[in-house]
Amino acid sequence: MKDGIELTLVGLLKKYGPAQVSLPIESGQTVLDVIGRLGLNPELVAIVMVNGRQRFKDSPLHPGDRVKLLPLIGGG
Amino acid sequence: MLNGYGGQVLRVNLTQGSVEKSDLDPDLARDYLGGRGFAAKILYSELEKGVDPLGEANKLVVAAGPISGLLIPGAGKTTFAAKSPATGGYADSNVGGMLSAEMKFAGYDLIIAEGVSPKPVYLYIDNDTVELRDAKDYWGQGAITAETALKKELGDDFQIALVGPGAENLVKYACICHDFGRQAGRAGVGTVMGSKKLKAIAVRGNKSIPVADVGEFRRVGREMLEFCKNSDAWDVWVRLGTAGVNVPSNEWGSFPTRNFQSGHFEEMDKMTGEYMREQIVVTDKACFACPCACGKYSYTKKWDVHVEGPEYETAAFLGADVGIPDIEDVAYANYLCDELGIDTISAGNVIAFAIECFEKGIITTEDTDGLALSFGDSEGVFELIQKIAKREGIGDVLAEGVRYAAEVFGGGSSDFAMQIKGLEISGYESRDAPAMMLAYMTADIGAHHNRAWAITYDIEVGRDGVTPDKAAKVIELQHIRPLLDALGGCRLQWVELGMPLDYYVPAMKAITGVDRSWDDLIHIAERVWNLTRSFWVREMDGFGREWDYPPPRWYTDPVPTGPSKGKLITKENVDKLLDMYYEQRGWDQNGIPTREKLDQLGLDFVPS
Amino acid sequence: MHLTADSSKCTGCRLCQLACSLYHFQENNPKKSCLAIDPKFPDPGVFEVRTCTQCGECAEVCPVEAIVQNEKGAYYIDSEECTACLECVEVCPENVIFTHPDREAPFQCNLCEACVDFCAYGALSVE
Repeated sequence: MKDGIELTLVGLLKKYGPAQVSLPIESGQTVLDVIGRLGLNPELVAIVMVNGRQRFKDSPLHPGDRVKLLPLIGGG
Repeated sequence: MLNGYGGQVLRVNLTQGSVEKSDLDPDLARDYLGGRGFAAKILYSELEKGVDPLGEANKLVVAAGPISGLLIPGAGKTTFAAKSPATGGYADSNVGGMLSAEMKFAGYDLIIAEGVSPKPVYLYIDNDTVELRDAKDYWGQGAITAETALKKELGDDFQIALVGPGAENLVKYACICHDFGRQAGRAGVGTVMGSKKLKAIAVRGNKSIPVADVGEFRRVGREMLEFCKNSDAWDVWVRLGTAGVNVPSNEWGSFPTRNFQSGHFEEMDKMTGEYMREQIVVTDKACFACPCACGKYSYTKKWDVHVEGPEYETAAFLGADVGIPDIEDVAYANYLCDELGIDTISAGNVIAFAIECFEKGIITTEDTDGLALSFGDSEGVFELIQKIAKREGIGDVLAEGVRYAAEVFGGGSSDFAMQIKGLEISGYESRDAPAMMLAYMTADIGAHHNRAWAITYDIEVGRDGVTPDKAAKVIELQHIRPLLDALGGCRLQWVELGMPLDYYVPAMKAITGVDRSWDDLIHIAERVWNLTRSFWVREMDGFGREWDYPPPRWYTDPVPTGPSKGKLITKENVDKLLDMYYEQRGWDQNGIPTREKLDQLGLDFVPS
Repeated sequence: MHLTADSSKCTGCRLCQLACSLYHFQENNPKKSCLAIDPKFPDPGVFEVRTCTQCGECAEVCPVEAIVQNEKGAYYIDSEECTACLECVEVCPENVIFTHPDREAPFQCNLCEACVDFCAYGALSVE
């Protein structure tokens, strides 16, 4: 998606949202905004990868970004 | 021939300088599988109560498992076990890499080192040729230096486990080092090896491991491998390794900071897995048969050293817990610990404790050989690591571990000596994570996270709950993780990549030819758990609930900063967690396995 | 065609060697495999992979002409003809003709590609 981001939810996070989805994004929006829009509890998202690099949740997103959200939940 | 096994046990009497081979007992393999299962049974049956952990009567057990050396993803773990000089209780610690595979290619599932050698030696194993050789040229050398030298002398195809100066000097948390930067780090298994004057074990083998059904084994192994390769988490863990957890742990408020005063470190920019990857990682380094190389081999230009890591735990303890905010400084401290052969977790924990004592005025420069200790002082941390390994000045006290250091320093410092059962707590601040705290309280070597990484359950179901399901989850994990330790496998494929545990059932059947259900396997894990608990019961007069309590900081001091600000778990809730846990385990209210439970698990040789 | 390795992608896990032994000999034994990994540690901390380039020098030197090409063009040692003189092992410029005490004849890559299939890191390919 040109104007948005490609979002992938990994592993057990799929219990809480779609495995893969394209989302429109407005300038200045952060990873945390996206997590909020999906209705996810931010604490369930442990590792944020943007274009293959680990980023903090307050990192701004840009159109065309590939975002991967990885949980660490359930016990291990 | 026992399918899935090397088939032989090597018993080394270091006092006499003799080596004896015997066949692996098929009943032992049936009832305890391998790895930590073997270790627990041998230590319980062969050690008498009260033996000196650093004396002739203690034994060092090195154990492979039935999947070690085989094409099963993650089959690269080796268990080292002994009575712990750090805690006085049961200890095992495992290391990833190539050792257990090579042991089995040489035909051995177990090496049991007994006695104390009159002079430094190393154990040389080349298939059927087994010798104790003079180690005087290597004694005193750092672990990385000596491993390099041994490989030069013997050949690059030897796999080596060895100790550094920390173990030679009997630092209570010395580790056993392997493959240039991996360690069986915890509870002083290296100290035991050092006390026996056994500098190294070098092994090489070229035998095939017998497998019951090669076709089916190849099929299941490949399926497990394909699952791992195709996991959508694969690229994340290969890129970041365990250091990927630095950021989420800090966000959870569980990243031990300044001696666990807090769980939130403010200066994370140079502490993330990503920063580490971009700045210092040279090579992705895998354990045997692992399709997801979480090992990060690094080079820090700032300090001009190579080091494997820093792993999450090391970033926690040689970083945030001592207040260091730069992964390159952490990497150098890591290198020092690896070369000197001491555990980065315990070393960082006890150094952080000393710094807090200094800042609170409990100790002064008179106690520290003139060093002014402060959080964030990298050079000071480097110096303390070296003093500990050499047992110089204050290092001689800190080398005994944090429980002992608190006794020496006094001034109420035991309240924030962060240990349980004498083992320094590893990398999760748990005042806002009841299941994790319970996991630490009940871990069977003392406060270590790898028996049950329960914090991620707290995260999922809610942090505050002190509820029976949390005890149930801790127990469930305490069987799965140790089962993997018995098999010789790693948890990464399951925990991080999401590989279903069901795979181990057909895999084990194809390998051993024995048809066991998942419940059968878990039953063995529960047997082992009750046996290691029984080791503590036998060893410690009056053993019970009090041994399971966390340090007072965790139930009296609310977290001062960060996302868990104000949180703690009250003493009442600590007891509630233990009540639920003991009941669900079938133990009495003091945490002692009941006769009924022991009999149900086939532990009839354990007295009530 | 020959097997080629991008050593910079190798993690030293030895899955390739396990796969090789399991498909070549139906045994789990990386010491019976047809490619080699040389770890270079502690410095510079890399793995170097050696594979057969199918250069054919082994076939040229074999005194009994026991080394011939299979349908994929891979040189292989016909163990019926081989006299175990080991001249091929000595001449191999990559040092990738291997021996094992269980076997009289040496062995080398037959381009079965099991290693390529099992490598999780994309370090191996056939060109």
